[in-house]
Amino acid sequence: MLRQFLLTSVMALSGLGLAAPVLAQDGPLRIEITDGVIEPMPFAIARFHDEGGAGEYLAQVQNLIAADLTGTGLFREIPASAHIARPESFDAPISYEDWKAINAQALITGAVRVEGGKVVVKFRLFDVFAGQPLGDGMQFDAAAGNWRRAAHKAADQVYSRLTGEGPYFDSRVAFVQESGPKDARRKRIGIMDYDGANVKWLTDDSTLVLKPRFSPDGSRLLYTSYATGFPQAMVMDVNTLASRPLGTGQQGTMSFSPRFSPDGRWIVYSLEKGGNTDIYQMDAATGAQRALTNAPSIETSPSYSPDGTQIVFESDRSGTPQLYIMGANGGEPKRISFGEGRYGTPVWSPRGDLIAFTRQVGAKFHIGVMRTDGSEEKMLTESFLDEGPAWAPNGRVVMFTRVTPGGDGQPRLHSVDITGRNMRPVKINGAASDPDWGPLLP
Amino acid sequence: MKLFIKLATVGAILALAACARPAQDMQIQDPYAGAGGAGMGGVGATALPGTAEYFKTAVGDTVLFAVDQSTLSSEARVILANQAGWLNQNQGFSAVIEGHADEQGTREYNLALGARRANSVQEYLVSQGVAPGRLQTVSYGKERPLEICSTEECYSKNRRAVTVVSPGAGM
Amino acid sequence: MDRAERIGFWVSGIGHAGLLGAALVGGALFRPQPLDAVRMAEVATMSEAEFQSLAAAAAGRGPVSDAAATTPAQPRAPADENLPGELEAANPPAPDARAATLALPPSRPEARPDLSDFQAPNRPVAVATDAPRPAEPENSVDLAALPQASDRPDPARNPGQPQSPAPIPQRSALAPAESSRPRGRPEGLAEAVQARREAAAAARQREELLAREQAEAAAERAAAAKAEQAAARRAAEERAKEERREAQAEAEAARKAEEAEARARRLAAAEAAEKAAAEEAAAEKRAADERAAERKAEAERRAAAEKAAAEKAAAEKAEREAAEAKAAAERAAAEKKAAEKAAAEAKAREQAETERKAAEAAKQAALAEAMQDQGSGGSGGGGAAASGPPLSQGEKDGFRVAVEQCWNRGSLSTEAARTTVSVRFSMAPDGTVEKGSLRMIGHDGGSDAAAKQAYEAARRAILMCEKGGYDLPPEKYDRWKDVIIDFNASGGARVN
Repeated sequence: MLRQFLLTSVMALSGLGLAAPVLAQDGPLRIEITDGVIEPMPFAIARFHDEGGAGEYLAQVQNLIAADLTGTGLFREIPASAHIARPESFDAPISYEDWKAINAQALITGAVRVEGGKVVVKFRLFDVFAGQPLGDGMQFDAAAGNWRRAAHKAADQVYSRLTGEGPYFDSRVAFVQESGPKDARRKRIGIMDYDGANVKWLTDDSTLVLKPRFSPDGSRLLYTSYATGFPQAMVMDVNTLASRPLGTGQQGTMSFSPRFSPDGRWIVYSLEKGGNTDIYQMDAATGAQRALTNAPSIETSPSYSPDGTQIVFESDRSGTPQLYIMGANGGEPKRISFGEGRYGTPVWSPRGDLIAFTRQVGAKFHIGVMRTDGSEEKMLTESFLDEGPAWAPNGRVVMFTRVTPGGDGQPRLHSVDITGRNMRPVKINGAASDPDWGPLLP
Repeated sequence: MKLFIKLATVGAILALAACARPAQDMQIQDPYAGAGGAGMGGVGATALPGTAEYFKTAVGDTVLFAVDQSTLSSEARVILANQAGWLNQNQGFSAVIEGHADEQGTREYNLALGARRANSVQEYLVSQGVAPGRLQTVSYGKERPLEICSTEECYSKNRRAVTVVSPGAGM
Repeated sequence: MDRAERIGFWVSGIGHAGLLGAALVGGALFRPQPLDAVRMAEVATMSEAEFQSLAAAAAGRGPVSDAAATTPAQPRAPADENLPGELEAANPPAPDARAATLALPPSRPEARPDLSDFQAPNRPVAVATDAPRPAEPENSVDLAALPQASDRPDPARNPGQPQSPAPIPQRSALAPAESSRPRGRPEGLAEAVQARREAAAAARQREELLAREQAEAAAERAAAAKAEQAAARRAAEERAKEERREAQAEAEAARKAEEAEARARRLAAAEAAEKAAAEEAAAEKRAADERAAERKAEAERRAAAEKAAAEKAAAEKAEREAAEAKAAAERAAAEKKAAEKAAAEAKAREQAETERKAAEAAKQAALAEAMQDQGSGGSGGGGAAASGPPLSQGEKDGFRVAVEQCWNRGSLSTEAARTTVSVRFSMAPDGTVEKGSLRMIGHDGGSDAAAKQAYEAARRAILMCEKGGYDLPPEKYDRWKDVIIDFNASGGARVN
């Protein structure tokens, strides 16, 4: 009797117990992660292989790729001394465990060879923790004197695949070199690789020159020159160094701050007449000009949006210099800067999402970015005098001039990531200002 | 005795008259030197009145401006009035008015600001009777500072318009 | 006057008189109609959160039944709707019940005792005949120490009566005294909720005041009991002991709760149980007072030294899980089910115990049979035990932090760094990730290309911090073998 009772009760309870887990299941574990870290991604470059006559190019190419990546501030190289594995050839299989052990998240292998006056650079990129290649290997060749471009192209590939940003290493920057005492500066226009290498001079320093600006294809430069004794906009062919005035001027006017439109058909610039400065537009082919603004205030520093439909510029019609946007054919300008201080030198990002500018608050200058409607303004730098931002072709990095105070103050070029991190100087000899970043070279 | 007294009197008068001449020069220079313009009076006495040098030093070729402003202060107007006067007296000269700005601003805006300042000066001179065809304006923005320190003392001297006269009929 | 004049006078006279008459009388004739009064109905409203919390308090998991929907109206005075958070606080009886107990910290508004992990383990407990003995001594201890305890279950009934009211023993012997569904609804929710709350309160009190002692004592008592019993049972119990021990402390907490409720019943029904309980109480008191003596007894018992070690480990585990049970006490009615089942099992145990002395052999045979059933029930229980208990917040947080540390958003494009991705993957029982199972199941806030980059960073995070396997409890493997992680880019990030 008791036994039966026990049995039945136990069985009943077991049945209930069996039922319980069915009721208890509710699907996969789901957790939410909101906090992460921001740190440079560690990567490793295995020693490149010499596949024929590479000579000193081998180390140079490898070091340049590492320098490009490290210079972005987003990557950190694990030095060769820490490597465990050394692939014997470019096509040797990769033992991912060896690279995981040194915590390399990305691995670059490569090979260089020289044949017939050309340098050929090959590379492959591997995602170590996924245990597989990231994209295909690629090969670039360049004339021996242009080996840096091949290395930059390889680094660009690695950079884009790992970050998802567009490439920008294979590009050039035009700038003004300054020498002499502060009250008697001598200036000349130079052009260099984005990292400061391969500097070439495009003008001599006998006349005052300002603010060079690339054409969309990088073959021409617009700039302002005092050759006539008055500031005049000029256009120069970068390859032939032939230069001529833009043709803006009647006597007694000044023109400056010229820029091409993204399709190269138009040039906007500032024209000063009778003390008043307005924005004018010229047909690049015919030279026909017309005014886009007509106000007694100063309107200057125009910059096109990448789709060519809008222009952002600086105007002090409100009493202090502020930023305005208008249609590319003129029209009612709309103010977009409303913070304290003075805003100037607006430049539209090649991605179209941001506008970089110079802002002065009291005695301090900042380089900042804001959305094209003026929101989300963010200061990237601050110093005694920062001005004149220029965008990298991928819209992620901004280069600008920083001047130190005092009678022996000097201008220097710096670049900064639009997150505000990784501000670093551009390695040039001497003082330099007014950078303009050219397009990505084909 | 009477003659001596007369001679003494005449001599005293002559002596006074002699002193008066430098006083006459001082009379010309004082208002300008006190008005804060460049071109101090010390050398002025040696320049010939009809030369550019004289204009620069005795008349005063520079007027100063407040931050971001192109309006003429009362001292500036006095100097400019004198400039106009000299130009009207010396019709063989034309002038280029250079506008400048201090380094605390962006390059292009300062170019435009300098142009505004030069234009202010030009208009004032025209209003004082100088023929417009004799005047030209140019702006150097912040490219040619006068003083190179980075304090307000230097900045205030850099915010200027300089009238540079040169022989020639102008346009 | 001539005729025309007269007619004129008459016409104007009539007109004037009519006008005056209308002015005098018209007001009465053309009164404005009274408007219908705007009727407003009083509707008691409660927010969705309140409704769900009530439903959860009253019902099991899953869709809320209609009974649950209607019953909350009973205990809930409209004025109490605004009390936030505390489920029971809205019910008037609860504070009284709490007040009647000894020094209960009011900080835990739990509707039921924390029995979430007891469901399965209770089953083995239900069958074990030794289990009632630990339960009973607790009863006696409680009785001795807390004479008021008997009041707790039934404040609505006659307080002060140590006897349980008649209705409960009248139920079918086979029916669990505490069913897993809300008990007492047909009888009235207030009593049931009160009883449960009091049980929870009692359980909590005992946990906080006596938890460790009783866990150890119970473990040791169980060990002592086993030592006295047949070796065959020991061998069988070893297998299930760990599970039982794990749940023992929790079961005891629950059992105490239910025992408080059922104590009166038990007393009325089982005097023999009291005797045995008294005997055991004496033994327990000796044990509690003289740990050294008990350790000697343990040394004696070290014929099964493994058992002792296992029991101690199980005791620690029981302590840990007692803590977990406290946390789990905030969950839904599955715990109630377990509690009620445990009570039922305890009741069955008691009844077995009453008969034990009279029929030792019969009990052993029954046990043997019961063990077989327990084997089947145990496997079900075992399976449920591996997936039954949900992961504690601490375990989830540990997993989350482990992956967080490797989630590097620094090397992404600005657009990808803003994109949220959800990644799903499976894990092996040792905590390692099955690489092939990694996939992105959704993204938000960016283009597809940006999502791909963000997914790559997320995947790297998961793979890099794996380090031989994530630290997750293997006994809850079913709970975490499938994982979805939402990498929410709107959070912050530590810059290194």
